[in-house]
Amino acid sequence: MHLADGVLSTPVVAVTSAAALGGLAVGLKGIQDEDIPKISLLSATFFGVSLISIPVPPTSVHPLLCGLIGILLGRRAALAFFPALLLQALLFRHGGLTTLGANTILLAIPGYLSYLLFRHLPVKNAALRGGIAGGWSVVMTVVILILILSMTDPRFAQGDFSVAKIAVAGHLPLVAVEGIITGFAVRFIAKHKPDWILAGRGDLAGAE
Amino acid sequence: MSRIAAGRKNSPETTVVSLFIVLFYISFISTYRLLVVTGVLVIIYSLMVSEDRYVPRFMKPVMPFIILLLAPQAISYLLTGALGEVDFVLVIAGKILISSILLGTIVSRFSALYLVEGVLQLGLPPVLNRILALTFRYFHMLYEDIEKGRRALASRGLYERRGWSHLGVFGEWIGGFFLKSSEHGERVFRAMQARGFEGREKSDKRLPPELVIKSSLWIAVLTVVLIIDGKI
Repeated sequence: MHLADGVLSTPVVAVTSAAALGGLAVGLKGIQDEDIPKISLLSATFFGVSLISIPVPPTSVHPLLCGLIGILLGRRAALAFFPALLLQALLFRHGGLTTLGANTILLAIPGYLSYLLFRHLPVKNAALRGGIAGGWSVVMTVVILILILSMTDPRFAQGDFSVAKIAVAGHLPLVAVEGIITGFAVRFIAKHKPDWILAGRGDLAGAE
Repeated sequence: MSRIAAGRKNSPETTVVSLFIVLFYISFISTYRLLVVTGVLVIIYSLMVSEDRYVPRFMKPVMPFIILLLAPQAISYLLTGALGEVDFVLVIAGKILISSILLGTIVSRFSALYLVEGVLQLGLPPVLNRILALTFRYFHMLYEDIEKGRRALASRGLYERRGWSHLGVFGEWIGGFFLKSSEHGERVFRAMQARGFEGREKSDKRLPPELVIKSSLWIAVLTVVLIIDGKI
């Protein structure tokens, strides 16, 4: 769920933009020249794959993939999310321009937390660790979404049938879907390029 | 083509900054009165400059969020017969729709590439600019591959399967794409190095005076509008 222009109040836009800038600064710290094309390609892949709808009967969903990107890029995840979200807003008008900062932190914070979880979870099976991190990323995304909406106006989260409650209900199946997809994606990557992922610190995740 | 050329009176960065300022202004709106006036002006602008003059097309991308906003009201009405915070919801929905029409109109008038060019001229850190430019370049290439893969999965009947058993196949397919991208990234870097790529070159680019003047005018005019609306 990307936040569109007009949803957030101006103070919240300012705070989330500042937070996103901080995330980008952290991601840019110590970046090497060789990381630039890799991050760009992963960003383009994230952008392209997130546009595909995956059938989940009786409906279909677009994968968030913030857990997987977080696992692959660690603290540099914001660098992949920011251009992808900007291009999504300009090319397909998914999300928005004033909400670019909010949408970036909506994915980058869960992405980084998933990376930490994947790295430190005491589970040997990489696919299972990836699955848990993928599902966890959706939970964190919903929590941050509700937080951002409540900061804009508490009425987003008030009442028996609030936007926040419907968003939680709508995302519940996605926790499982994202967990399964991330788990299998991690299993595939671990099988074919174990050094990239198995230690929980990919070549782009860099130092913490 | 002539329409695009005619629309290029402004530099791309001026268009992008002006768009940002107007979108910020829309996020400040809190009264029906100003919302309606702004909405009418944006729709008139859209009808004047967009190619097919079918405004609802520009609202389509934000409809899921509009439905999410309206759903609590509809459920509340069906179950209790009362509407909740209807004014709040309508103002937010109005702002989302107006913003979407404006963004869609600007993209349709100038092209997304023109706006990306504008963002690249804004003076962002060179590394970020480089990532943005490469992401844009590789997205088109990768998207063709992704579409081919999606069609291949569809031809294997994956889109007709019941249950969730096929999610693993999608997961491995997605993992394969990221792996392929990473390996392709290494080759791209070597090719870029061979062409003399320096990813962190310094930029001494300054914002053009035209951009500063036009942005200041936009901010001043829209701030006055918001102040007047607040006082009436």
